[in-house]
Amino acid sequence: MAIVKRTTPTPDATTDAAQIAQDRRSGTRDIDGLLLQLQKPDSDARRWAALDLGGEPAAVSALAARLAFEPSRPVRDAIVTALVETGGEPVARALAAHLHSEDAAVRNAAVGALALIPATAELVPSLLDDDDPDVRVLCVMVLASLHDPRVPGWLLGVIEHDEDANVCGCAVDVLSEVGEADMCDALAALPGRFPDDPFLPVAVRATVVRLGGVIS
Amino acid sequence: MSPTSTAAKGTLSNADFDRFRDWFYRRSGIQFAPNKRYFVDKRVTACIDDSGAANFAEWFARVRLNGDQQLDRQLMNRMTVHETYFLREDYQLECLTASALTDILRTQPSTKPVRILSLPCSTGDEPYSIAIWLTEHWNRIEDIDVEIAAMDIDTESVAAARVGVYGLRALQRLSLTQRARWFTPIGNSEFQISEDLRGAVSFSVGNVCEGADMRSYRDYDVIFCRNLLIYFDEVSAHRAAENLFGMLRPGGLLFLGHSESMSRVTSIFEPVRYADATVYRRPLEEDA
Repeated sequence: MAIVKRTTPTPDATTDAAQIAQDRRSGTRDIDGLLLQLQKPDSDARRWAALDLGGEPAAVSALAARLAFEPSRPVRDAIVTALVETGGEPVARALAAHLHSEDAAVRNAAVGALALIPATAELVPSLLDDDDPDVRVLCVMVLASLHDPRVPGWLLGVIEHDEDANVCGCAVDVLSEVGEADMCDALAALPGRFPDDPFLPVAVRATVVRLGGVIS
Repeated sequence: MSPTSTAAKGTLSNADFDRFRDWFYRRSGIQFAPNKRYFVDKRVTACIDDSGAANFAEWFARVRLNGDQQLDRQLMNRMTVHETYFLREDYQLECLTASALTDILRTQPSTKPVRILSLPCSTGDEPYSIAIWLTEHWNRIEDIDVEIAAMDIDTESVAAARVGVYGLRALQRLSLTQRARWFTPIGNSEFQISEDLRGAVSFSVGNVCEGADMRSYRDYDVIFCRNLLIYFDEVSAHRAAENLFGMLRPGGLLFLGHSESMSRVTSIFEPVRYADATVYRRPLEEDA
């Protein structure tokens, strides 16, 4: 039989583990050491450094800054995981700034992370008031996954007041999951604000049906 | 326009069922076909009743908007199967020997052992099943060594796995020939797995969500991590996915449960669609 016991040492005693312990003792895996490793050419080293910086408030600005130009997808993902683990309003603010990025990968990373951070809720009113409709669309995308009881109310505000049809269309889509039946009248009124938009009546009808309402 | 959401007790309205089904797919990767309607209605209404919520809307808001972890876990427990037994979901083992290991061997020298990790290993059914399957079904087993490691967060499960004693229910999918070959009856309808297999699998205790724990697990060719991620909240699922990525060598393959999808958690893995199963690969070449 060629099922064999590990020929390398057990995980509890690997040289890796010993090396990490040694690194910790020598300080290279303290925050300053990890921030230096975040700049290394080796993407695996950057990835491990980012993950080890999770939960460290002092590393938030460096991680968020790195996210803006980090070329490796696994490293970007590790940075997002680390920032989400740290959480809190400073992280949410740092990530919200990336909603203005020209890079779609960075914007998407920010949306995914913001949705996982409860403190994002405190930024929602200002993001929904942003001059850039693309940022407002991204904010609605965040609301699609954010756990906060105020989400339906914010989306209702969008469909009642936002002046951009795309932003409203996104909100209608999210309301199909988180909306309530008493929002059907507000939904029904939306196409009237954008009479030239062919998509909104269709989206509204689908969402109203989903919420258990009927189009009169 | 007026709400029409009504349903008989113990069932969901069509609109509520659709909302739940779409959200649950995003949450868990589990998709329910229309013929599962009765199953879904029964379990979701049981969750609603247990929660004390007045109706679906109130319960759904607590799970979906308030992020109530207790309700979420209760739901996941009700919607999934909790059983561990030998050769469970053996089509994935078929995939391992028919396709996955061929790909693994393309990207590493055959002189190197193939390294497989099973987690969470519970009481050992999965890693021992892998060992049995490879011995019986993989035509390269005589000339390529395989190392099988197994890990679980529960120290008692790991201790039980090392002893390797099982009841008849765990052995239900094994033939009598397989039982005779790999197990010894020890009385009270219990069977102990052979000393050869017990000696061949390395068991350890660890938490896949802990970065420090997982740093020393590296360079695995194949990881089985089935029916675990669906139980995690989103943040923990991200961390677990990162750790699994780090535990695989580039080109290594990750098997999830049949109803699970990594794409809801992260896009750092490449989905690989084999005839028998979809698995997730750590890319061979990572950008920069």
